[in-house]
Amino acid sequence: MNTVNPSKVKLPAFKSPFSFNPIAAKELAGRMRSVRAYTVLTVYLAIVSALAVLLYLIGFLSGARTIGGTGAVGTVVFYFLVGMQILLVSFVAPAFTVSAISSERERQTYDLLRTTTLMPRQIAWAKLVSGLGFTLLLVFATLPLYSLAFLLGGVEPTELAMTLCVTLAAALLFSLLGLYISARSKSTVGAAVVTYALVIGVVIGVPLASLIGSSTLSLALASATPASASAGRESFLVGVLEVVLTLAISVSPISAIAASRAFFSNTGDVLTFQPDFVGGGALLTLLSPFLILTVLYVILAVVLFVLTVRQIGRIEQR
Amino acid sequence: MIEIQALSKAFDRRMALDDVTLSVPQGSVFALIGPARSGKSTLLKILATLIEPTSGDAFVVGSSVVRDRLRVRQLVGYLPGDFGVYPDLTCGEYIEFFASCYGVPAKERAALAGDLLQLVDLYHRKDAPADRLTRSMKQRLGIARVLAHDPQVLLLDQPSVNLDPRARVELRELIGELGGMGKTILLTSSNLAEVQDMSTHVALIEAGHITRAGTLDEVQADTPPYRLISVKFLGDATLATNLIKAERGVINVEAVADPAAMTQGLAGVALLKEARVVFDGAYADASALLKALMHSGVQVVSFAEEE
Repeated sequence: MNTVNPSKVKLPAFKSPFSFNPIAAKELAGRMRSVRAYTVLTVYLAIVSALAVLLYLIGFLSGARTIGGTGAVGTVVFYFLVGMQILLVSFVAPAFTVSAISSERERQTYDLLRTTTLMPRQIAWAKLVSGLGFTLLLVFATLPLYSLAFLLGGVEPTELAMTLCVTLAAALLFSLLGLYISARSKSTVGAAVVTYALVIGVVIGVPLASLIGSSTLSLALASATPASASAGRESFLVGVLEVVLTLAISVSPISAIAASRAFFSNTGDVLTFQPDFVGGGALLTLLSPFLILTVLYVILAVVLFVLTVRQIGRIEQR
Repeated sequence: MIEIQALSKAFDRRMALDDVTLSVPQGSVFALIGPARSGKSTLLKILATLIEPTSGDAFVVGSSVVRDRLRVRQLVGYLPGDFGVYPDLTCGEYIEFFASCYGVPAKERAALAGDLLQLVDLYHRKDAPADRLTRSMKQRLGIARVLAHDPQVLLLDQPSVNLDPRARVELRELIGELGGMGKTILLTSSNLAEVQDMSTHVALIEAGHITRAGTLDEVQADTPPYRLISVKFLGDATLATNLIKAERGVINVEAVADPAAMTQGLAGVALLKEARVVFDGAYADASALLKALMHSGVQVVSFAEEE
């Protein structure tokens, strides 16, 4: 069969695991080795660049040649790019992790990994790094386009920092959401359905619900409270409603950025927020929605990571 | 080397393993023989720490599969009956990847992969995609993978299934070489004849119970070897299966659709089916089985003992 003398084959003794995760190394190398990675990056940058330049040209041709006019165009371009980044991390980030574990099961390689000496947290970390890594590559590759907005004016560096916080926190959370659901699912399709249902619910559903909720409550309170009782607006109920609605809009990246930006442009304060959802003046000073979102998302991400590690480490019963 | 003590495993209400006690000596090539669903794969998965026993324990070189899972994984190399490969890796990279998963230093991995592929006669496929291998080559690649961390014990689940006769001979030689390297090997099969040339010890398992265990000579002296009879037929698979099971000498039967099914002309869509019968009866019993099938109206196309 072969001419190798078995006694001369050197097989090393067991050594403790390396610091660099082998799964992360394999997946990152494999992902960047394929043409698809470069195609995705190129196409994404091309589309975003083309649309940003188009917006600029529309604004320029509409006569926006004064400082204030170009500033308005700059703001539009900036928040267009922010919107694209939010869409990217909401729908592309989970795509890289939602098949991370379930595809290993489908490919019948999951048991091979689980019988190695890799710890469950190493497997989870590797899958997160390889999925989130490419998403972050796309996010940071788009950053130079923001220079167009800054050149036009109308945008402050603080706004860039604010939107980056939200974008990175969302990328982290949605990647981990996909990873956790993948670890629990037998199939990639099932995992994808559940993950995207949750992401759409959070990104779009929650702001819509908040908008409807605040409008409804505003009407209800206006009809229930006589004008002469304006002092009564400083009620515990209104305060609770404002906290609840602030938390609700802080759940979605879109509404968190929109609310934070609106207040920042009025008051210049990026860190705090005085909500007035029901009209009649603000009662409370709260943390800005983007800060609440960032903290909330990071906490949820840590929880999901721990749950994912436990799921991977769970010895199956069959 | 492996001590299995009163091991039981229940899935819902079915006992896959029932109070199994077994001892696998160091340096042996131990064959666990039994029909389908007898508990062979379940036992190997427990030893590989993939699933937990319901009760009892097993010790691999003194480490418990329940309490010392990480240590057991260092000592054991597990080859499942069905396993996948990564389509974006070459054969060499596949071995190097799993070597890195076990902590083999980076500077040793390339040489290790080359040596292991040479051992399993796949060195010429070192730079070929790992997903473009024949079944036989894939099995050998799997064996190279389980050797990456130099385990003391190899658990091979049905390593010779679906291999052509030449590939089985090559596998036997390879397992013999591994035994010569001092490895303790526990492998499973549904056919003693397939593995008796490479085994030093045998245990027979049926419905989760060990019925016999010992050296090959001891067990063969007590037990006629199982044979596999392939029956290809047209018609109702359930009827044929029930009929076969009722005959003397039949241990188990698997009725499967023939993957190379032939359709009968344009008018008929009759799929050729195959029942693989695990049989330990005499030749007269085999003849009686064939006669019973013919008299029942089952259209037997082929009735042959598998090599």
